[in-house]
Amino acid sequence: MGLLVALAIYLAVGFALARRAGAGPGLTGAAVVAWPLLLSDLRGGAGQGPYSARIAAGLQELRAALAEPAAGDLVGADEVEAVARALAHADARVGLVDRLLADPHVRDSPDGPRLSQARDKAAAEVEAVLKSLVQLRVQLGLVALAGETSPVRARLAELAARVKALEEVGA
Amino acid sequence: MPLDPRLLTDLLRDPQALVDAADRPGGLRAHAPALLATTATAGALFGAVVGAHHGGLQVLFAALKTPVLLLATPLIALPAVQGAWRLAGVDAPWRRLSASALVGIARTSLLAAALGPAVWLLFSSGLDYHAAVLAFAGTLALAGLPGLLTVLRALPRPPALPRLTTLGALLVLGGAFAQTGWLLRPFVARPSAEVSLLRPLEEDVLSSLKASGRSANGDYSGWETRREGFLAKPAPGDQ
Repeated sequence: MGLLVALAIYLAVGFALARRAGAGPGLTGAAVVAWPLLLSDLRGGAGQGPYSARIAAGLQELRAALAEPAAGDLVGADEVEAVARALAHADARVGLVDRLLADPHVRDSPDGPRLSQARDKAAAEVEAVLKSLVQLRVQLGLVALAGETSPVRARLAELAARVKALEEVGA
Repeated sequence: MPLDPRLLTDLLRDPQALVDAADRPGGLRAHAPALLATTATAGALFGAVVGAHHGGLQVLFAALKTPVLLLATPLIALPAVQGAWRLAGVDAPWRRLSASALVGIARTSLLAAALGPAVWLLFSSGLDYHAAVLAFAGTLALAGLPGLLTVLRALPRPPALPRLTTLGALLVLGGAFAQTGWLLRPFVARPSAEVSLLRPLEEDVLSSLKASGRSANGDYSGWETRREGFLAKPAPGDQ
């Protein structure tokens, strides 16, 4: 009986993960029987891309740093939310293209290499914004120690430019 | 899901390219259903051939259990393989391990199904039960080796990786495969036995193979099995 309960729980976990990832019938069947092997692709839900975990971590660390009293009011919450939205959209687009390119018929089609190049460009922009988030935290630390706010303003301007580039890649 | 002939060809001729394709972001989503369908179909075909030695309901039971045997092995043993690589200071990403395992088991089941007609021919020549068990184990070992090598070749192997790590991973995967097969037996049911989906838990695969080897040579000693292991329940009358 215990073995049957364990088996039922195992199958239910696979089904729940597949539902959460927005899987079709084929992938749901695969996930129900072998979800531990598919975790890498099931953890990111539908509409998420390969950077979702890094984006979430980067934004969480930035918000935590901004919430410190010593950080002041240099960066508004709406500015962070705009960055978060742009990153989420760009990541979802990269994720969609990754799933499309995983199909050899799409990858080997005449426009496959063009799609692959566009994906790499979008991914590079996401990477650049993630690096800018780290740089912004570094500058926040310098503000706290030296009170020099202009580097933060410069980083914010750079971040805004990168976010704009993200939107343009998607357009 | 219909089996893709291109996938079957790639499984036999270029499994590493398939592992690379499944290892890309989103690759597992794209390839896992077809690879698992191949494992289920080819594994069931081989299981049905093995079950045909006894016939009747055993054909169905063995056809159901063989894909489970193939799939359970990586689910049980892959974390240990990843741990062995990490102990050696080399990162073996889970996505890569999963991709190689899915390709490895699909390749093993396809090769086992391809060997099915030869096994059927052997069985139809009047092979006795013990020799049939050895033929089943031998066929799985023969088909399983290319699958195991597919997994090991797909993993990062820098020159500094100790050979003991590779050997240990081979032993863990092979041992888990053999013991899972033992837990899921009977695949080849005894001619006099009642057909059952699973037998009670007793001893382990090595003791059984040794006893089968002796019995195939006419020595029928060593079958006095004991119920052992944490899953085994004591038989009525046992102390």
